[in-house]
Amino acid sequence: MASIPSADRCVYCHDYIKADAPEIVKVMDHYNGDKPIEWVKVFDLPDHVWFNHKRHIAKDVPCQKCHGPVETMDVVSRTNEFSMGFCLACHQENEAPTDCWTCHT
Amino acid sequence: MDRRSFLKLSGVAASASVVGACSRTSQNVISFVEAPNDGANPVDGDWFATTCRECNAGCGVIVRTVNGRAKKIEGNAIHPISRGKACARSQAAVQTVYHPERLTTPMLKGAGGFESIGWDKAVDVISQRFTEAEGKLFYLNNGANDASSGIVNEIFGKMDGFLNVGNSEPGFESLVAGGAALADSPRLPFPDLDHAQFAILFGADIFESGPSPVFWGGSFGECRRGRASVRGRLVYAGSRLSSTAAVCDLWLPVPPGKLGLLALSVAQVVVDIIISRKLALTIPRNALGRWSEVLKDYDPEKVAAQLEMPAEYIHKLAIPFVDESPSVAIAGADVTGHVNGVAALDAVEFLNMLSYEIGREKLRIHERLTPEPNEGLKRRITQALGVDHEAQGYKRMVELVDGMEQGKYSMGIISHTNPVFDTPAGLKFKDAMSKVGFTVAVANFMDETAAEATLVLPDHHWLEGWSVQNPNFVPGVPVLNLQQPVIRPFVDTRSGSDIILAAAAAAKLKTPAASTEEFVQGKVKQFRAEMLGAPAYLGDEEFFRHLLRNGGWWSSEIENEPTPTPPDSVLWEYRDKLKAPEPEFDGAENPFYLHPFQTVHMGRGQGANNGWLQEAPDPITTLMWQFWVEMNPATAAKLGVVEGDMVKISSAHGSITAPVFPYKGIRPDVVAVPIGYGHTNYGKLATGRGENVMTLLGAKQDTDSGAHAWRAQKVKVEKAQGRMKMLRNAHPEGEYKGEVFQL
Amino acid sequence: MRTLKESIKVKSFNYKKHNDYSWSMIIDLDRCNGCGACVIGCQAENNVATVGEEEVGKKRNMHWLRIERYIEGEYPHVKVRFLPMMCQHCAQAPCESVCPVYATYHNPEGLNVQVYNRCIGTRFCGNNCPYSVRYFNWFDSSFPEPVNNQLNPDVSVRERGVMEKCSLCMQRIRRGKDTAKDEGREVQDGDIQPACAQTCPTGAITFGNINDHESKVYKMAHSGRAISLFEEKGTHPAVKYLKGGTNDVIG
Repeated sequence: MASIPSADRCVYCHDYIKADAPEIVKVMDHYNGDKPIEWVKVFDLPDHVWFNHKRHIAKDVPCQKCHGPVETMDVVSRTNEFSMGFCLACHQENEAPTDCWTCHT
Repeated sequence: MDRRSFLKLSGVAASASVVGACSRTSQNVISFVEAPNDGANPVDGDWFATTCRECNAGCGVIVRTVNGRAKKIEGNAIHPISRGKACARSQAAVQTVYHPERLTTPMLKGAGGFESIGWDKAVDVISQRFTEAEGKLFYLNNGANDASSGIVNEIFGKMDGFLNVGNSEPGFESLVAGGAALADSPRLPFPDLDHAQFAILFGADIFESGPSPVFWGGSFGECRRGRASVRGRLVYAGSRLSSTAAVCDLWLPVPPGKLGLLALSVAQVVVDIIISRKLALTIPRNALGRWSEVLKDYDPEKVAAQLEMPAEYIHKLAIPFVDESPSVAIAGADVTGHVNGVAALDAVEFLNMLSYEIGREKLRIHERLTPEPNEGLKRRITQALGVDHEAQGYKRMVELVDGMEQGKYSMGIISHTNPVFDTPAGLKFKDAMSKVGFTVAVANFMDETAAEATLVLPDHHWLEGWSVQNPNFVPGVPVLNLQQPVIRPFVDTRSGSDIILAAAAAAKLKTPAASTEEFVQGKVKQFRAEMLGAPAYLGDEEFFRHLLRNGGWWSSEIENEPTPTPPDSVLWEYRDKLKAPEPEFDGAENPFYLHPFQTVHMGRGQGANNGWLQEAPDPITTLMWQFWVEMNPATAAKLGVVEGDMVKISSAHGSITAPVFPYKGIRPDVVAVPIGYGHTNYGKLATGRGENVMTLLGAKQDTDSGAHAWRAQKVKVEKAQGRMKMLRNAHPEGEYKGEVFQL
Repeated sequence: MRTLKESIKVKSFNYKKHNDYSWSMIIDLDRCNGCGACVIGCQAENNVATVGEEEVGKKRNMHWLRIERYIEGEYPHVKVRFLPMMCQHCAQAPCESVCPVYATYHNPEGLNVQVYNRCIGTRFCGNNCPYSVRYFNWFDSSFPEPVNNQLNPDVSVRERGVMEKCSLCMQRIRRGKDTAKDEGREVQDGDIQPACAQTCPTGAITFGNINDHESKVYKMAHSGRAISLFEEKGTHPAVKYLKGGTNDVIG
């Protein structure tokens, strides 16, 4: 799991870059009005699963392996179903731990 | 300031794993507008050092925050009081910060009860009252030397008619007076249990009531099993086998009020041993002779009958006290709760002084006599933060109540203390409070005292606000605890001391700082030059941040200083202090001694609105969510009651009913009732749960210190109507399937 | 055909052989003062729900860690003892063999693991546990807004119909191993502390890797004071206790 960056993080750059774009104006409105943004969750993990990006990044697993070709998407959509089989297939292939408690707490 | 709207919303990290499958509602993720400071990895979160304010012990804690929410409280490993540990109450504070019943808006009492007013209006109202009061006001806190007390003192301290009072734990001023017996200034005695091989606890419930159950827990662990070859032994003397007594190797059920007598009798044998064995001590021999003469009256043979134990028991306490040196004596609530408390404390301190002479070089720290590395710094820190030792305790509460009765005060500020609930009926605090024209309660929750106040100010939780604190009870070192906001305010509260500062500024009074944060920084700056070990190369700003990272400043130099012998003049005259006056009791004609006691979870009643603490089983009874009265099974049989039967306990001041819990670890002439139950206005969980034992207590005071003699009460007990199912902590399958582990 | 006993033997032999870590907890009964800090520490760390007075009356409280209290003797020679009791993480656990869906299993590091999303709530395991340390969620956990802000994001909140129990703070073990891996080393003794051990003021609880013969837990487990509860049942718990002393001053 990961955090969505706070709105001020977007504003650092978008205050200057494409500040007039309609979607950016929306973000600025949220920031200026102290209103949190309700992001739509695309990559939702099933319940009772614990996932940490750190281990996977350290292993140089490319983002696209799970998230799909996000660099080509204007609107992000899910290409892989985050099911247990999806995780396990990769874990087995790479000899990552497959003990239940690795993911289930 | 108006971050409330989004602060109410939950962060992202929790939503993935926390929402249960059946209750999944949202696929949305709500992000912060401005990121909280959660460290490099927002999923792991970060730890911040601060000071626990659940009681006045001043334990340093660290708090884990993830996505701007406080998740877990643990002890600060480098802090000299908590030593990396935390008690149940401290850890349960994450429940109070996110408590649904927190006060969210200032409220002024009008004709139809409390009405919400805005913060600006609250400041206006207070500032107008400040002008009108012209210094004729009081500030009542819970006995903490902290920033708000210091701020109030600096604004009003020099005005005639101002009174700053600490409603501290019962017996506090007796402990201070007892500590002064062999020292030049009042301070709390601090026996070095860590290094002791043998300890006698005179009614000292060190794991349940103050000053710091966490510190004493650590000391006990060290004493008992901290050394490879030595197992520390402890003996507990007192009328109830408390959870502290439970870990001791022996419990001696001494009659109430007789612990001073026991201490002197032990001292008699110890002095005899010193003389007969010709132990080479630095004490002048003729002082020993003088003591021996006075102590003759306390020969075990003479007092054994009064103590209701064989004389040989006393010898068997005294002999290891010398032979298994280093040994210590610790006094607690069963000593300070009686009218002869200070006299008994003098006897206990005398034992300690002898022990330190015998066990020279082996014991390290003893607050009574320890020279401070920078003389008097601790005392000056204390004074700078308002409530000095002398300004605390019941004697001052009596002074305050008298003043209120006589109309001396037109205004009062009551901060984080609940005297309407936790002072004895005999003090009549509530009646007196109603005579004060305008009272301000600074609180997190509505409680009995806030309900009586004219204006209620919702304060930040201690996880959200700034403060600086000087703990009353410190292991030999000066400590300046810092309390910092580890999370943003969760509801629309303001720091009580900030409001006082703003109102005082509006009333054209001289204020020490513009905000509490500035005041805290100012205090650090003020004492910086004297802080040993402070890195000199840092600027004031960096230094402040350096201290925040540690949780405050303390000196650790002291631990290697051996304890010096008191001056000859003190030793010579100590003879006059060796006496054991008879205890006196309120309602002496009644058959039972009342033994009110603090539990590890309720404190003085603050814990009662916390679900975790209510559901946590009491160590001795294992009862959950329930109030009870403990009595010996023999007593219960005589009254014709069994577990769960209701009894009525009454004194001249009031009466309560409680279900019986028969307990073998209590004297047959004593009934014990926990403090902190019976709230009448403290939220859903606390209100109406049990009854308040303080309503039975008279106003008897210690003859020397003026402390409330809260165990000097005798009561009537009779069978009442009704029964209650006692909720002991047992497993669904029965009492552990009927098996008891053979240890 | 192999008997059950033999198959268990083979199973546990394999586990010991192939793993560096075997987690163990030692509780010094001579230090425990029954203060209950561990109980609250556990509750805060593991999102353990409170159930309220009424449900407590039905003995449905969920404390993963409870302190048992025993009163011995007659007045005035009374002795009170405390015994912190949590999942014993038995090497040969009675709960594991009765689960029809393998929701509870023994992991290679000696932990008895409960997989919540596999559990169907038969409660066989709870009934078969000699220590009575498994707790059943009779209702959905009560963490109403705003109390849920405190929930630990590392631990899932269990829902109705699921058994739960002490995990020896597996999220902390995982974090400890994770950190060690980041730094390219093995987990050192003292790196990992479950919430109860971390908070115990008297230092009664010690946690570590019993396969490491230099670890504190190994030394304590071989100190002569160590006992296992219900040893005669052959459960071989990973949690061991150090007996208290009884050298009374008098008597």
